Amino acid sequence: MRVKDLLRSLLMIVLAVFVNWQLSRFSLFLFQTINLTSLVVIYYAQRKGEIFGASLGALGGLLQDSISTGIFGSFGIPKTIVGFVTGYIARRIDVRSYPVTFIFYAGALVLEVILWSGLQIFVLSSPLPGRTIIYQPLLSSLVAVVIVWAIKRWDTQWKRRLRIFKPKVDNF
Amino acid sequence: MPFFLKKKSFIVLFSLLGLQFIFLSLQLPQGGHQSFLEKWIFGFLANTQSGLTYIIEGAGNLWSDYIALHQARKENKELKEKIVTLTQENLLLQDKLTKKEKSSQAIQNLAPLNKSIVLAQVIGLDPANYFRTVVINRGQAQGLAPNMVVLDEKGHLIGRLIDPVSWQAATVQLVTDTNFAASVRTKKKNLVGILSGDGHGRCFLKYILETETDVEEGEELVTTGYDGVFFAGLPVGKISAIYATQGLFKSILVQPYFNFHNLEIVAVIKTSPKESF
Repeated sequence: MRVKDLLRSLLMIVLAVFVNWQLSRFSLFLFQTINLTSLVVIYYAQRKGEIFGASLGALGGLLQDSISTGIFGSFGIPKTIVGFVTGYIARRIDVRSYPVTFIFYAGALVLEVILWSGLQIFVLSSPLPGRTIIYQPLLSSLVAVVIVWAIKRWDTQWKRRLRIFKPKVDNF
Repeated sequence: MPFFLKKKSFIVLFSLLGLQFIFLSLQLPQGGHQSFLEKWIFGFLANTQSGLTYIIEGAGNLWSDYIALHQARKENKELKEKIVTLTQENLLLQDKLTKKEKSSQAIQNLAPLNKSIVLAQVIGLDPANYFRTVVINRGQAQGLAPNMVVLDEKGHLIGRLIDPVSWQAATVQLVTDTNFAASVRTKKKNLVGILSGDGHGRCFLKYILETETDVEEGEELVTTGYDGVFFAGLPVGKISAIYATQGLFKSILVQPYFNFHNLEIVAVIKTSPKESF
């Protein structure tokens, strides 16, 4: 893996944590239902495999833990598992079509919500803030599909532009 | 050797999980205490968030402040902040005057109060449970430290500062947090109990005996000041429901006054009750 890719993924995960945190200032509903940090973890796990997914999940989770007064690891553990599982599955099935992308992200986020809630209730004995979190897999997956579509579109246009401006080399 | 230990990816997964479980188990007996690493990361993220909020707010206000509304919005904001400061001052003064016999003495003590109020903006909520803590954009640079009292625009108790407090950001433990505790009394009947959060946006008034008949729904609760952290007489909320239990104490539900969904500007009181009174 290239250093450029690694730096890009690290930047994206930090950015996702900040954007998610900024969301809390504007809407409690969006703050609870749009899990951008996990979307970045799943996106990279899908492309780079389970080891990278688990590592990025651990990092993203621990960053979220540090801005929460809860126990260090309560976000990290579920995200590590989700990063690993999504990376593992993505190498075995084709998840490139939009309907499958949606199901793939929704499934991963359902897993994360179950793991996180279980950890909060059964291990840390901490109350959950509300029921809004049950909408998270659905809404975050919709956001994921839009982001994936935008990335693909941007990527295609970028490649097309590169092709246009590519200097022609004459063969003598 | 089990098959999953033969694969490199599983070894990485178990190492990462093991490391986090060690972190988790190390913290459990200590409760809310945060490690140096956690404090350091919080400091970095919270200060960046504070800066980011400043930039976003600045960019957002550019149009409305300078083009659309010229000075009106700026003035309005200043006046709003002034109202908040005056409300806090008024509350502190009321409490102060009830305790001082001579008014001349009270006036002498007023001067430092104005400097002891720091207005702050809420820049983020707790990702795990937003009824637990909020982060504000003022910190050590403005002289803030743990245990300082935090009030809303109308002078209602929101909570207190807890660790971590970094250079330009601080954490506020809300009254709705399950680990919060403050000594309070009912305003009419002077019944003393302990206020604690339920983690769902409301509070419980604890340790009121089941045999007690003087407590009723709708009664206002104010702080007693016995805990040495909160000033006496700060309004907290109203009793919303009383449930009979099989135990020794009643289960009393309290609706806090502060509006969680409209929490933008808060006031931090730098003076502690011990220093001031």
